[in-house]
Amino acid sequence: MFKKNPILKFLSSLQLAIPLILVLIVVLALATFLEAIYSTPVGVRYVYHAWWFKGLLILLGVNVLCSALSRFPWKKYQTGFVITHLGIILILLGALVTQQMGIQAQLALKEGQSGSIVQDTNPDFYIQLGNQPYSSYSASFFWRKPTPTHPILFPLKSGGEVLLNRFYFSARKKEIVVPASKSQKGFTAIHLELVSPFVKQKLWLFLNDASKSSENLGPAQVFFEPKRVWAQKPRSLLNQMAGNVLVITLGHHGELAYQISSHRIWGSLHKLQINQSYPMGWMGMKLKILQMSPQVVPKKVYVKVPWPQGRSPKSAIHYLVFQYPFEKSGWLGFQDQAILTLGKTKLGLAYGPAQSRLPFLLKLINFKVGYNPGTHTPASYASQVIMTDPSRGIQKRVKIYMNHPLHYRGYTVYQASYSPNGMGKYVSIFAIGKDPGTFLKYSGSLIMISGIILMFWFKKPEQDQGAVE
Amino acid sequence: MKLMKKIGVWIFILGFIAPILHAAQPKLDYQILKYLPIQNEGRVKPFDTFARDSVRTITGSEYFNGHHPIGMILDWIANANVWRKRPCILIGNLQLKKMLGMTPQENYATYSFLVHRPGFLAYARANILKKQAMKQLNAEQTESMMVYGRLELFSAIISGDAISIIPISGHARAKWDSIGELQRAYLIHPQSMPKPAKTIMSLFATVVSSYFQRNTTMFAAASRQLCSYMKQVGGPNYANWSHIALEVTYNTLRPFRKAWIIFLIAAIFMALSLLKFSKLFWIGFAAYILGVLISITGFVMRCIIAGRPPVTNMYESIIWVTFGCTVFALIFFGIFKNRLLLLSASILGVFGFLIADCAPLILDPSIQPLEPVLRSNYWLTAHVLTITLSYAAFLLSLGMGHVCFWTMVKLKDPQKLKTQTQMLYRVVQVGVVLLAAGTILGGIWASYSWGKFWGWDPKETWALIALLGYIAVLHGRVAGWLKDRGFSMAVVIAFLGVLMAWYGVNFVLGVGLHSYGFAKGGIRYVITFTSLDILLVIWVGWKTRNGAQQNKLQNT
Repeated sequence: MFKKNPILKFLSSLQLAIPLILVLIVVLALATFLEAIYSTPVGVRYVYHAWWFKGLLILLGVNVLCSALSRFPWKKYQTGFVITHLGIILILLGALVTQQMGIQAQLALKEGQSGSIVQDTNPDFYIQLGNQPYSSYSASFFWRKPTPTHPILFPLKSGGEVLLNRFYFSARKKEIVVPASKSQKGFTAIHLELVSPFVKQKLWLFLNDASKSSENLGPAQVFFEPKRVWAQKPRSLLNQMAGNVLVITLGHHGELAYQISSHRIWGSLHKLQINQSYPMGWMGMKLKILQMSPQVVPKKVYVKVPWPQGRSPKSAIHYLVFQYPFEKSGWLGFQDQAILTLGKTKLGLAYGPAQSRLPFLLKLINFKVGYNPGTHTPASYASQVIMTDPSRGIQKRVKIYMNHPLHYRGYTVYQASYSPNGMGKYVSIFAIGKDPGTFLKYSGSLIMISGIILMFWFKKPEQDQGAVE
Repeated sequence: MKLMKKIGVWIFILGFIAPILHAAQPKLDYQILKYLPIQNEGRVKPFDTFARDSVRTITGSEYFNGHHPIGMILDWIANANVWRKRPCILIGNLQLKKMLGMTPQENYATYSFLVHRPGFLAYARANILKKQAMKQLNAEQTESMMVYGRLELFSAIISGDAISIIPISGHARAKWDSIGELQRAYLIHPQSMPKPAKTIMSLFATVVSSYFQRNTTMFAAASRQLCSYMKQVGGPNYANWSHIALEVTYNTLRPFRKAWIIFLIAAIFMALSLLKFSKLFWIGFAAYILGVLISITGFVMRCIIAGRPPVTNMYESIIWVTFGCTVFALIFFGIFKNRLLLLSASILGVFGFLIADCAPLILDPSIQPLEPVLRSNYWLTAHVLTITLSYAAFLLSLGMGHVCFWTMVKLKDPQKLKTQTQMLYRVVQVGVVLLAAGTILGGIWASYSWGKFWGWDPKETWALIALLGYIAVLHGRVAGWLKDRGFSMAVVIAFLGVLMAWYGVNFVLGVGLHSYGFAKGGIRYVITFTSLDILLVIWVGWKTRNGAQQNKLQNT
């Protein structure tokens, strides 16, 4: 059959196998560089989980299968060859099962807290209308991405609709200013830049706005005040400001000035021109006012970062809500939520990790970190947990720590990491996995390795050339 | 001629200066102080190791300006005010030097310069936070972090905070007290200091002051008194004395330095035996065996000191792979009786051990405790040992590949080439079995510890790529596309995958290509070596193209 059908013959041939292996080598190598230059999620999204890559792997599986079948009935010296290829097929099948049915999720618990709802790595989009239960929709967008011309539509029970019309796999939050509308209260805003050989920061400050008229930048605190208000500030208040302080004032006629202090010692008020640099005296820092705009309001938008860096690029979606006579729109970054008021009803929208429920409950009793002697580098960490399965009436106390996970009902709970929660308390972070493909992968591996050994052991190097022909 | 003159002048100058220097500085005996246990970087080690590691971390070399490491530590403490203003803190990155306002020629900065440089400390701390938040850093940001570490260590040494030599009895894992902490605790009420603390302080002060005065007899006496008093404080078994003694011996023996010298001797004798004096081979063989034995000794010592197999960082993996390569060659020599196997392996032995010995800043030779994820897991040990052994086999195949080139280009002997490629084929087979098993063991380990059999982590992906590379070569041979000539060339090229999986993932991908980190991790040398090797393969291919045509003619 394999000798007569040209397609089957090609699928079972070395003429396919070798180029396919070479293509895989090139693709994988490029993918690791993509990961290194940008980030792991980029590599995963654009290569490892992409449809064409899955296609390549399936083609490889078909090739391996056909090459083994085409040599049927197998001769004795082909035992190793057949076993090896069978092992590879089992491994690939196992990978397929894992991808389709496996679960990879996270559960974070404070000491004393219990939980069974775990967070997946893939995002979901949540809609909640009024007091009704929320509904969730997958928002990974691997196959189809919402665009302004082809939005994805979610009808509401109230007759309105929610549209998603933009998805950025990786986005950066950006603060911009827009002219205030008639119904809004506008502010005077300045856009300033602080530069030293080591840092560069840009920010907007809004005059007379309670929360946005000052900012703590770490190396310094920055204030933007009306000149009159600043002049009337009591001396005692000024002396409370420790560290480096920069105050920018705006006079009646739009004239800017600045005053700096370092460790409670105040300099005098200097005039400030737009687009000129002024030395700050600390850390070699220089101040420049880039722009001043009257009657504006701040607005948060997400801009696309085509090639993100860092371990976890933040994705963002843009929504539109139509519910006559209301029309609203806005951005949701990953793990953001928005509550919109549509007349009397409230609409909650959220974009965050998909959630699922475990068939059992975990309660964190305590969490302990052990250090390498005389250092602050952790040597070990462990969680004491009570696991309750109400449906089976089972309750048991277990210790979960590195290399010692909890196995229960096909799930495995690993100690992944932790973060301090203040006062010597911790949040313990568990990774939860369910991998039905494990058996296939393990047995496939074992079979493949024994096959390779058999093949190499029994085949003399002189035999290798053309042995398969 | 010019060079000879220059060397002559230098020998002349050294001949004059050396005795003067020698006379000016009476030799202090560090033999006793070497063995003083100190708690540092998560384990108890001899003072000797502490001094070597610290001086190397701060200045980039163990013997800074010719000081003995222990002498350097004592000098920093005794002359702290002078050393704060003397350049001794290594700055390795050109861009960082520029940011700090230094010239490219200046390799060291002073403590006070760095501390008072506006913005530098904040910049370095911000980078440390970034690193903790798993953000990628570029070369100068990474270097600023390193410099910050050097600065902290230097300041901890001169303040006595790093000198944690006072054991807390009864607690095996408790933090030991340091000279600096003791001093500070009783700064206001020195009279309330308990007697043992007073004695420790005064003994340590005597060690430092006798060092300062270069008083050899007093120094020896004070060192002895300090060590024996610490035993009195901590109890006779407050440190594992056999480990301490072993580690000091390890530091002085430097088994892996000796190894490359011995393999060099082996290589020279074996090469000579090829040319003319065939008997010389057995002298080379004896040296080879000695080299293998001394590297085994080094490994056993390192295992006992660290309490784990020595394959957790690049330094350890290079010496392990080199060692594995020499052992594989010995085994294959037993089977095939081919002397070229041993010659190529001893040349690789020289290179491997030499590289590990010469770049302490890139390949950190210090013995570190294990990270939690790597602890107490035999899957990991099995995985790493198997994978690195496969690298060892492939390293040998690289050497053998070059031997084949020699046979092809110089000897032009197809029969010899045939036997050699058969050996090569066997070596590659061993490597493939080990690499496949090692990669899978890695999956089992990851599945066991993290619940993920395969996560497309760059390290595992490159192990897979390397494996696929050799598999492609083996299939090419089966298909008849690669004859002896093509096979040996392909094997040499396939080693690029191993090089990338082994070195490249840590030093090329790890730094991130965008970070201009090309000066770091010796990448320039590796790229030079790789490109030269590729050029060699191309050249060999071109030189032997007639052989290929003949093959084709025979086939048709």
